[in-house]
Amino acid sequence: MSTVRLGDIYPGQGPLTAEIAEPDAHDPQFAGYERELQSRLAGVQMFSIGGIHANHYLLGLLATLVVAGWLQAKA
Amino acid sequence: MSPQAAQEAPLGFENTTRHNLRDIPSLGYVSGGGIATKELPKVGLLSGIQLAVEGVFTMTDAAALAPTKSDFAPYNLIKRIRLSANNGTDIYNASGWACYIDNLTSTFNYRVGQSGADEVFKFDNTSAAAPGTVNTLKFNLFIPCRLNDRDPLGLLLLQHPSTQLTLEITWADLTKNAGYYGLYTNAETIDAFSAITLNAYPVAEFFAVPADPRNLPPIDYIIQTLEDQFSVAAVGEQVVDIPQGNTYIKLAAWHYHNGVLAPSSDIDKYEVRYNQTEVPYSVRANNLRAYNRNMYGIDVPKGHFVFDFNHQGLPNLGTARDYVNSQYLTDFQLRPNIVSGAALGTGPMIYLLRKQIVKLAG
Repeated sequence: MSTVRLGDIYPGQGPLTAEIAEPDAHDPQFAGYERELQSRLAGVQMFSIGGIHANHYLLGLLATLVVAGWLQAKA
Repeated sequence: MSPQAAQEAPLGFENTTRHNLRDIPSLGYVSGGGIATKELPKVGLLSGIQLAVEGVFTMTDAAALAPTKSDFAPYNLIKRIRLSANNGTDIYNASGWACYIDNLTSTFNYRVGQSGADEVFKFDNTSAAAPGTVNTLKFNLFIPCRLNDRDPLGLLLLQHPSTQLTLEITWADLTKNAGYYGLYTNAETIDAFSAITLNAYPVAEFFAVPADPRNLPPIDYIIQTLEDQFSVAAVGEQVVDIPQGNTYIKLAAWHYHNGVLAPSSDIDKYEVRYNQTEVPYSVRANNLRAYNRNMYGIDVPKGHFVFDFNHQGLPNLGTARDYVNSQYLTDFQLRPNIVSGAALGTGPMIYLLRKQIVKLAG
């Protein structure tokens, strides 16, 4: 039972609203939207800077430590 | 997928839009309190309106009477902020103070109202003297119509041919004694207010409309923010019936006793109850305030209590985990307990800010 109708905000069937599909038709708690949020949060999308993912930085750091350790052991 | 098919696939909203900030002509203070309105430009997908209130006014008093600030000042200079679609449907309808509380509970460690940040906030140098003292006033409010800074839910398609959004500001009378609205509790004893030049400068935050309508965000949801008031008859447990039908993401309540913001000690218990017997929240008032402090990094003002269903580590950036879909509940109540020793005075009130996701009916 929504208190606001689509036509209250977008009267008539405008060219843009006519194109808009329901996110999820069986959706009292807009589960479709929740799923979208969850998948975005649950993914391995760690923060990225300029397209490079954080785990790339971690790999780089690990490699640097290994090389530094090897150099120290050699010396 | 063929390269051609890949080109035709919708790219999604994030990849096809652009964030914009654009000035809207200002709304001037209406002498004696009154309404100023502005129609929003029909451009883009509206995310919210940043409102800066700035200006000067002169206070004169032969005895150099010190003006006493109201608990709600300076935000209560705005009696009502209303953002409505086609002049009929409210998307935002709350007082200036409620909007401030909405802002404070939407951002971690909100400091925009901190005194000393002269560029955006100024309300500490206020005096009245014999030849007249010029006082500067500055404060900011954000009127959101989207869920949060991240998720494009609640954006309003301003450039729909038949949609007209109106921003309406009801000013309080600066020269009257302030209870809930106005700046000073002793304004009427000050000899004169003059040279009042106050303006509200709105800036629209909006997103460009993607060329392909398939990339539009869901525009059949709106985020509706409303403020209600409930009168308090006597001390003891209060029952605040919350209107049902939509999905709640935040409830913030504050108590107004004895003509001022109630001391937090006037309330000792808070409950949220639904379906007559389900009580998901039943807490000592002070614990709730401590919990609120943890959530927002600062204390909410005295007498304020917040149940934030959209908080998961960061304010306003939660998932739907705790949202309350009130549609199928038999009842939904907020039940604060006012202690027996509380001085209620005349016209005690509970103010309630309700923020909800509204699925637009077809």
